[in-house]
Amino acid sequence: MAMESRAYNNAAQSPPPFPATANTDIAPDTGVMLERMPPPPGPPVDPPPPGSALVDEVDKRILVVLRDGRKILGILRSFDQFSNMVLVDACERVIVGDTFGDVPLGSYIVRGENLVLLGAVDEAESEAGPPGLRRLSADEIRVAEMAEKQSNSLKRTMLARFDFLDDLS
Amino acid sequence: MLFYSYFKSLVGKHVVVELKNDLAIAGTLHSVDQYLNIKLTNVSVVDPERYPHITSVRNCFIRGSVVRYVQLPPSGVDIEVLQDATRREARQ
Repeated sequence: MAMESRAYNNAAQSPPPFPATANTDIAPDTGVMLERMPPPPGPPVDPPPPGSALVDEVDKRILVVLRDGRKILGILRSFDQFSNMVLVDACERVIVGDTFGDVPLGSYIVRGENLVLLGAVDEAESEAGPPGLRRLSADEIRVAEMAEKQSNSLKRTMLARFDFLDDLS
Repeated sequence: MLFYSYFKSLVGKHVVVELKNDLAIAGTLHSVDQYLNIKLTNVSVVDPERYPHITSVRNCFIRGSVVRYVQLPPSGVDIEVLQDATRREARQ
């Protein structure tokens, strides 16, 4: 807090430094500007190497959301700076309406660019599934997914067919 | 590195991260890395009916490349400091 108020004071006293100091290293306001950029809060340790943000999740069961909307549950075994990942004991969580199911997949390598987000899930919580949703078996959820896909594509073709209504109005 | 430093100064603040797939996630900023990958704690989805699966996740990692917006708290924006930092960066 003290840091912040000092920053504001400095800002009030010194004029904007840009025009006067653009060409010199020994700018009189350099010290001021350094002061005005407070160090980020948190322990003052070396910054972690880039791309190591997933170390905390290794060997935990995580939920991975991919760019195509798929949800994969699996145990994270390895990753790299691109967030390519190795998941073992993986399954896809399919959600259709108010039902869900897990389709077993085995081991997966996910290319990092397809990752949207991931988070550790509690084993018991992942077993219970999202609140308010009913669990189906892998086969049942596949059937439900199929049915949803077909009804969606039917909806699309019907909408396309009735496109002329827009032109009339 | 400017925005990396800037986001580091926002650690601990409550933010809403809006993704390119229109999913919006609110949470406390836990950490940022050079790719602007974001880690949030205490996450909640803005539209839980559409995204029921996220409710089982408490802390999450968001890949920087899928982020469209980060909504900041007004207290996290200090135009003066940002302008100075920008000019300093431009001079280097």
